[in-house]
Formats: sequence, structure tokens, C-alpha cells
Amino acid sequence: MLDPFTTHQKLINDNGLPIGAFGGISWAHPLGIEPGIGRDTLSRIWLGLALSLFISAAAAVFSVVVGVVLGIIAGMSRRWADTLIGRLVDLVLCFPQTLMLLALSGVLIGWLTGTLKIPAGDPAQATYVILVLGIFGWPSVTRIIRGQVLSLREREFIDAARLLGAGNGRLYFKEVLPNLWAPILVQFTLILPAYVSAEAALSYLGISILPPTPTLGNILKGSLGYASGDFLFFIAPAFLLVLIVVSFNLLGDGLRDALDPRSSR
Amino acid sequence: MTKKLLSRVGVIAVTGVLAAALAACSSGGGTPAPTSSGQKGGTLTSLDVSGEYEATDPVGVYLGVEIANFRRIVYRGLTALPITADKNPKVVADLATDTGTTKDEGKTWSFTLKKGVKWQDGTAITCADLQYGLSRSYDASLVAGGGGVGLTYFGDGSYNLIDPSDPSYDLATEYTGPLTGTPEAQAHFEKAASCSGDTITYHFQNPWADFPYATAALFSTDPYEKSFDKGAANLFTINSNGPYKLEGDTFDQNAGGTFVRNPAYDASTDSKVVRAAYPDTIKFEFVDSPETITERLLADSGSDQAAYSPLNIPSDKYSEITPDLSSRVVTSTSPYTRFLEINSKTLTDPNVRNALIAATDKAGVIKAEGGSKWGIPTSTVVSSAIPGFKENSLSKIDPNGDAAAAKKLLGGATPEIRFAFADTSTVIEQVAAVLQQSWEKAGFKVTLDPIAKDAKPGYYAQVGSDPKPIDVFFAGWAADWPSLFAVVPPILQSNPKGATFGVGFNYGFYSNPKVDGLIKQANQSTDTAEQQKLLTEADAAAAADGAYVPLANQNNYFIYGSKLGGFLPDVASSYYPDLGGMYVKK
Amino acid sequence: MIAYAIRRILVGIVLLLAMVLVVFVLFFAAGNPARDICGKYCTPEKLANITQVYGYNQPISYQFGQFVQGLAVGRDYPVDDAYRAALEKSNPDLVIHCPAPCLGYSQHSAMTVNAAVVKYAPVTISLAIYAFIIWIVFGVLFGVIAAVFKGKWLDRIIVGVTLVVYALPTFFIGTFLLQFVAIRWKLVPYPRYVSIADGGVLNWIISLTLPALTLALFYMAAYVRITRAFVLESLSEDYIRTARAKGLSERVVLFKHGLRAALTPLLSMAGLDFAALLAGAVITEAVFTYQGLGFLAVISNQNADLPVLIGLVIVAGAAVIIANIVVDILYAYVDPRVRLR
Repeated sequence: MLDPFTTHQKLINDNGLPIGAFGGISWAHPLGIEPGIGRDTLSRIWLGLALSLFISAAAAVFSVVVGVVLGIIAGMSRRWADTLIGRLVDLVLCFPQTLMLLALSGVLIGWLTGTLKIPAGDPAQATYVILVLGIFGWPSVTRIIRGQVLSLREREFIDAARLLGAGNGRLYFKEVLPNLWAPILVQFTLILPAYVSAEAALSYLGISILPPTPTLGNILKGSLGYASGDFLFFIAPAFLLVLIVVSFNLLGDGLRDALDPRSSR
Repeated sequence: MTKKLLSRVGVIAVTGVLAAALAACSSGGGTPAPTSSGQKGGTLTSLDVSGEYEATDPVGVYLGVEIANFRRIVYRGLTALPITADKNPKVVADLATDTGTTKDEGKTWSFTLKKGVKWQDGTAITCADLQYGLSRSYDASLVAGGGGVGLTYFGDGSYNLIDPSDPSYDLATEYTGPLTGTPEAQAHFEKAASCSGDTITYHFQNPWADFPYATAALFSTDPYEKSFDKGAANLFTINSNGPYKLEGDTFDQNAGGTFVRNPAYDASTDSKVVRAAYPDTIKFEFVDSPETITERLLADSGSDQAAYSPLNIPSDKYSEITPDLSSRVVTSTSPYTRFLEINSKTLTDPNVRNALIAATDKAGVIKAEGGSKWGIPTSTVVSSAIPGFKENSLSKIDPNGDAAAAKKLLGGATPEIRFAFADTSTVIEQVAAVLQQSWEKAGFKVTLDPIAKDAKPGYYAQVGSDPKPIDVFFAGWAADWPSLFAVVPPILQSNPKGATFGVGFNYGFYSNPKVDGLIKQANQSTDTAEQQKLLTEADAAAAADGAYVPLANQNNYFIYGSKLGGFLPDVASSYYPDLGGMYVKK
Repeated sequence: MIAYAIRRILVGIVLLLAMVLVVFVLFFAAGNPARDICGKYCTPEKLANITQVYGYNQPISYQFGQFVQGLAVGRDYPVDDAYRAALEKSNPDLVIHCPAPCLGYSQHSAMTVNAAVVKYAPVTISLAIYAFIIWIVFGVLFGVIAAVFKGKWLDRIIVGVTLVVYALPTFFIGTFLLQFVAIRWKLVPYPRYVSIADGGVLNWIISLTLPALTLALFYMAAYVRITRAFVLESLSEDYIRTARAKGLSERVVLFKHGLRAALTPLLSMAGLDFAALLAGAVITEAVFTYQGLGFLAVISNQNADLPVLIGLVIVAGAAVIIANIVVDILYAYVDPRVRLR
């Protein structure tokens, strides 16, 4: 049974380390237990992974949805909307991303809990991370989608739809959007692992979800000091993080190769 | 002041500590005779975590480790505590010719300055400097970071300074320091702390029997050179009158600073018992984490061979402290007690408070912090290092928590409680998890409220405000000087003004007329034994009423470099390693 | 050409102003700077005093105007005119003159934001340059090798290692290098920043190696992938096929035709990444306690030092905007078609 919260201090020695080999491995605790209070490592990594992926996926969806909508509008509109969105992209890209994630945490989390009444603690911290990763992530999507749309809009089926009297809304989202699913999928798969890493970095700075609720990032931060004291506890979360990020990157590369014949080599 | 109620709790916890119960310095190293064995010269390095020092302006300094270090190298006081392993040391004269004289059993105190004591610019220290230094602690805008700290003892009622010619004048409220105070208030202040030649006399509302200990342990009564004062811009400047002076203009709270010999300092005005001043250079170097510090001291290479840290070895490094290191590892008791404040305005039912205390798994907390090297269970907020220490009725409770007894007290009720903690380290969070589970076993419904490092408002603002939606929160305390007066009143006396910040450290707003009465009696008594008895009674009464949840009496667990001598955590330095007697072995 | 450059610079200035406005609204509208300055033990009187003296009681539009004015011509602190005039008489040392471009005044560290930036910038610039050299040299080298040996075991090893390095968080790599490589195994000296003035060029380089490596690894991994992709792409272009068909050797094809086409866009990308780094390598500097701008950002965030945070964001944004302009103008110089856009 997964139980990331119950403590097992009977399994901890007076140095605060798990009793038994390899960080206290047993049938009940296949990856051993956490030093200090003995919560089950496997359960914590499992829940932490789920939460990290949830946050990253939500932020990636945010980035991709905003990026795609603005990208289509910019690409299809030949006038001021394109210029405006282009400048907006420039503006957002001016901001130093890591610095903004760090610097905004104080004021924005206060605003989320105060004005928007999001409960303080995990919900507010998670909302913050999703929001800022999303906000600073969409411009790259917009640029790519706009490029794709520019080549699409000269195709016959778009002219045909226009001649049949389709409005802009229908044109953008019924005609253009379905032709973009390949680059959208590729973008999502590549943004997701980047956000998993970013969430871990924010945890190191104490900005993401805070313990006792585990995320890959805060587990990793807590395990940093145990390289020699409890090696399994030290390496397990790092290994899993690498596994996840590498897998998604390979998936994204593979998808791109498969869906975009030009780059498939 | 060593005010560590909530302060620095984060670091302590990261640090995890240790040890052997009440035994004083045990293994290896320590116990130097500072007068003879030291060697002159060399560079000593003190390692700490960056960003912890919040000020070097004497009125802004309130962390125990800063007071301990600066007292030994740059800021001399009227009196000082000697470098000694004695657990109950006698205060000795420093800038003053003696340890103070009183004719009325503590209501007025007089000190006379020695001849030949000078600032680093060569100017002689005068009585006006003493007056000026004290007056700055009334200016809230100067005490940035630890604001209002200088007022805690001098202005919160029990230890008010008064103008003897007009005792009803409320100096603590009316006077706002030398820069902004009205001429009228300034005049009253100068009569309350009056100068005559080289002699300063302090007039108190109530007798203050151990005032010479306060002048040794606090910077509030230290001199300050008026021509040096640039207000808040002086936050990280140091105008030394001790054996060393700061190289460069400002101390860097994130990088540290280098101290070199101060040519204006005359060792003949000082005592080897207070400042041996062996090294030629003392470096403060700040790094990212206690883990890095421990790794460096373990590696023991280069200049780190003459390095130490006031931080304890963190528990994730315990397994690397092998027996062959025993000559440079020291375990000692600490003046820190760790406990939980209870918000007495939300948990009004003493039965609920007592149930919470009964259910608490102190042993589990200690194990999470690192085990017996870190601390031992206690029943009181008073450290075993304080003369007069006595366990109270809470000592009968099982340290592992007694859920059955707690359930009985609750009588089937399942109160909801909100527990707040500064989420600065993994260890604090683990302790919170242990507490949560022990309380839930007794039927409490517990909500954890981790407050992020950069939350707005921050942890201190949240737990210090009134009213607050927090029922229980972390606290820690180390006495500024070894006296029950430096523990019981600041934590347990009801706050006379209902202030939310600055005055008093009773953040739980605990208020009990019986406790207040006993403290008042102790204040008015002049007999040390009777004072101890009254204050112990006050603590026992508060504990029985469920004023706080006692957790642990902490220990220290230090490691230092192989070429460092004279390593001694002592009372004078709040059981941090005393910088005064350290030297670099050739 | 000159018209293009001027237009580009004007757009840059508008962008910078827009950025300052966004930053200002975000931080001042959502935050409570007076309360943050007030510190842990804040009394209502102290708070009221700070609000008055620092001008936080003024409307936000007025504060923004003052801030922009400070950027353009400088300003004096404290900002309340009456208070400052009184202070000028009683205690002139306490009045702080902040010359243009004034980024603000930090009460917490008792210095102007400009002074703080100047104090912390050398470490960041040193780190950025060092890391930039490592990541460009090795990133491009390994990227080209991987492309040339595409599909062979060497390519697989490079791509595999790159993926793992790319996945490991910087704080993990940095902590490992610090606690094991430097302290425990003593393979390199303990990283402690030495300026050129203090220790000469050699010591400066040695002191920066470990943090620069930490910082460079992430970018290096990214640039290996990008270089590999660019080179492969350019090698599949028609003109390369033509060159091969003409019977040119593989080496000539690769270096004369393939690489040149691939590296031009890469270098302009690198220019922008380098500029972004001037905002400070937040995590690397925090791990090694290197007193650069990223480190300053971390401590300012913990201390709720809003003026410094705002100043840093503006400095970083300005660096990116300037780098953009420079890259664009260089590009237009190299490739005249760009000007016509």
C-alpha cells in the first residue's frame, strides 16, 4: 500500500538513519525509508512524481493553449494583431525567467491567497508555479505555431473555406487548428520535461509545493545531504527525475521525427 | 540580545545538534586555560551560513552568536563574562572599572569608565558615548531587522528606566531616540541614564539585581560614538573599541568580513580572561549550507585547518563523524530549549491545552532532529544550563506521548488545531509530521500550516500578530545571561501593553494573574535564592495550566579544524564556541 | 541600414519602458513594500513613518513617474520632500543621492540599488563569460562530432550523456561538484571567488572553474543537441548534395559548407542566452555562495527587498533587449534581406 505520510520511527537508529541495509529496505518498504522519521520512500517518490507531473502538465497545457491561440491569430491576421502579438512575445521574452519565478513568488502568492482566496499552502504554491511557468512559457510556442500557420494560410483549403463564407473563428479553429496537431503535440512533449526540471529548481529555492506534501523537487532537496549517509535515499529520487525527463525528451524527439518528415533523418 | 525565541530556529533545525545530555564539554579538544596555552598569530576562520547576520550595528544585533563573537573582538561592554568552563561564571569589569555599584539593592546602578579606553579612530570613550549608545535603542527605525529589541528589557514594564525626578513620565513610550526624540523626552532620558564625569548612573522603576549580567550580555548599554552615527545607513558598519577592527567599510551579511588588529586598542585596559586575542586575523566566511561547512571541516585542508563553525553538525552528516575525529569533535549542552507556543486566545480551554501537551511525542521530535546528539526531552522552557533549573509537573508525562491520557482530558471531543511552522528545512517539516501524528492519535484534527521562507507576511509577522488563525507554533529560547529572569518573564509574563510586535516575546499571549504575581514578587525580591524559587513556581504554574508544549533541551555538536586551539563553548558565548580564547596552532 | 538600426533601438526603448511598467505594477500593486521594509518587529508608527518617508502613500501612477524620472535624471532618498528637507538640515549624511539611471534605494541593505548591482555584477559577468566559453566550445564540438558520426556509437554516447546532464537539476550537479569533487576528493581547489585585481588572471580562472562548469553543463547539453540538429539539417540541403556531387571531400563539405550555415543562427542564439545569463545564474550562485546578481536575487527575495528585485529585473531585461538589438543589427549587416522586413 502506498502511504507517504505515516512515520515509522521504530525503524530509525539514534543517528537518525534507517536501521538495516540499503536505507532500511524491506518488503513493506521496497525503497527503504526516509531518515529521521521513517516515511516510506517509494510512496513519497510515487506521490511526488504524480504531483510534479500534474503541475508540469497543467503549466504545459497553459503555455500550449495560450501559445497556440495567439500563434494562430498572429499567423492568420495580416495586420495589427500580428504586430501586437509579436511585440507581446518580445516583451515576455525580455523578462529573465528564473529571476521572475523567484522574485514574483512573494507578491503573487500573497495576491493569490488574498485577492483570489486560494487556500494558502499547497494549493496557492501549486497555482503559482503553474501560472508563472505557463506565463513565461507560451511565447516560444506562439513563434513556432505562427511559423506553421504562415505556410498553411496560403493553401487552397483555407481560400476555399473563406470563399464559402467561413468567419474568422471558424476559419482559425475548425480549419487551421486541426492541421496543427503534430507540432502542438511535439511542443507539449518537449515543454513538459523542461517544466519538471523547473519545478525541481523552484523546490530548491523553497518556492514550489512545500513538504510534507512531496514533489520530486522537494524530495530531491531533502535527500541531497545523504550521499554518504544513506545512498539509496540520495540516489532514488535523482534517478527517477532523470528517467522521467529523458523519457519525455526522447518521446518528443521521436514524435517530431515521425510527424515532421523534413527533420526525420 | 540573544533573543532567540523564534529567531534562528530555522538554522538550528537544519543544523540538528547533539548531545550528551547535561554533561558539559565531553570529548576532546576543549577546556583550555586561556591565559597561558595560546599561541599568537595566524588566521582564524569562522564559518557560517550566509544571510544569517542581520546587522552589525550594536542596536540591531540580537542573535546570540553575533553577540558572542562581537563582544570578543570589536564591541567591549561595561562588563563582560569570562572565558571559562564554569557553568555559573561571575561577571567581570570590562570598559568599567568594576562590575557596577548599587546603593539601593538594584534600583540604581553606577559604572565608571576606565582611563585609556578608545575607539578605533583613537578618540577616548566617554560617558556621553554610553548615554548615546543606550538612547539609540529607543529608536525603532535604527533597529532594523531586530526592531524594538533594545526595548525589550529596558522598556517593557518590569525593567523600565525612569527619570528619578519625575518617576511617572513614561520614557518607553515618549522617547524615540536621539535623532527624533523631543527635547523634553531627551532631557528625561538623560536624567534616567545620567552622567557625572566618567560615571554613568541608571535609574530603574524596579530593582534589577543582576543588571551587571545584562550589561555583559546585551549591547544596549554599550557606548556609541555620536560622530560615527549615520542612522540606518550604519546597519553593517562596525566602529570597534576592541582588539580587532573590520577591514573595509562594511560587513557583508552574505559573504562575511575580515577583522585585523586594531592599533588604537590598549591590551592593558583589558583582561586576558575576556579577550586573549591570539590570532592576527579573524575571518568570517559565509557559505550556502551547514552540510558544506561540515564537509569542509571534515576535509580539514588548507586554511580550514584553523576554522570552526558555531553551527552544529547537521543530522544528515552524523554518519560521517567517525571515532578518529574525536579530538576535534565536541559535544556540549546548549542553553536552547525548544518548545511550542500555544495561542491562548484560541485554545482557551486548559483541558484541551493539557491534552495537547500529553499527546505530544517529544521523543519522536528528537529522533527526527537527529536523536540524542541533538537533544533530550524536557518539561520546561528553562534550560538545564540555567542556575535554578527544575523540571515541573509535565515531567511525569511519557516522552513518547500519552494518547490515552490526552483522550481522557478531551472527553471525546475532537478539537481542530492549526499548527504553523517556518518551512525552511526538511527537518522542520519532518518534526511537524511527527507532531501531527501524535496529536491525531489523541483525537485532534490537525492542519499543518507550513509558511514559506519568502511568504508575505513572513513567519514572524504571522505568529506575532494578534488575532491569528494559528493555534500552535514553533518556538525556541536561549537565555541572554544565565538567569531565570532572562527566561520566565519574557516568555510567560502577560504583555502589559498588548503589543503585537517589539515588546515582549510572549507570542502565545499567555496571561495568568498567578504567574504575573509570582514574577512581580521575584522582581521586587533582592534575594537570589528566593527569586529562583518564585520564578520556578511561576514556570510550574504556567506549565500546569498548559501555557506551552515543552519539547527538548538542545545539545551542541561541533567539529573544528585540526590546527585550532582553545575551542570552548561556554556560558559567556551562550554555549557557542567562545572566540575569545581561540588560537591557531603553529 | 542606419534607419533600420534607429528603428530597432527605438523599439527597444519602448519595450524597456513597457517592461518597467509591468514590473512596477506587478510588484507594487500586488505587494506591500512598506510592510516589507518595516521588518520583523513592525509597529504601526514605524509602518506609517516608512509609508510616508518612502512615498508609498502616493498614487501608483505618481510613483511610476518618479521611478522613470529617477531612471532618466536620478533622484534623492528619502523621497518625501518635507522629510528630506528637514533631514538635510539636521543630518545631511542621511540624504542619499542616487544619480541616473537610478534603480531605487534598498532600505534593507542601506545602499542604492545601483551600488548593489555594481557590487555584485563582477562575479556574474566573470561566471557568464567563463561558462559561455565552455559551453560554446564543447557544445559545438560535441554537437558536430555527434552529427558527423550520426547513428554510430560515439553519437549515441554523446546524445545519451547529454540527455542525462540536461535532465539533472543544476542544484544537484552543483552540490555534487562542491561537496565531493572539491571538498572530499580535493580534485580542484575549494571554489572561492578571487577577482583579477586580488589574485591575477590565473587565480581568477581557477576560482571560477567549478561554478562555471556547473553553469555551463546545462547549456552545453542544450547546445550539443541544437548543433547536432543544425549540422544535420544543413548537411541535407540541396547545395551540400551539389557539393558532394562535384566530388568535394567530406571534410571540405562539412567545414566549408555545412558548418558555416549551421553556426550562424547558433551564434545569434548564444548571444541572447549569454545576455540572459547576465541577470545572474540564480541556482549556481546560490549553491557556491558566489556573490553575483543571482545570489543577490535570492537573498533579496528572502529579505523581501523589493527595490533590489525590481532593479535586477530591469537590468536583466535591458541586457536582453540590448543583446537583441545588437544581434539584429549584425544580422541585418550580414544579410541585407532582413532590413526589408
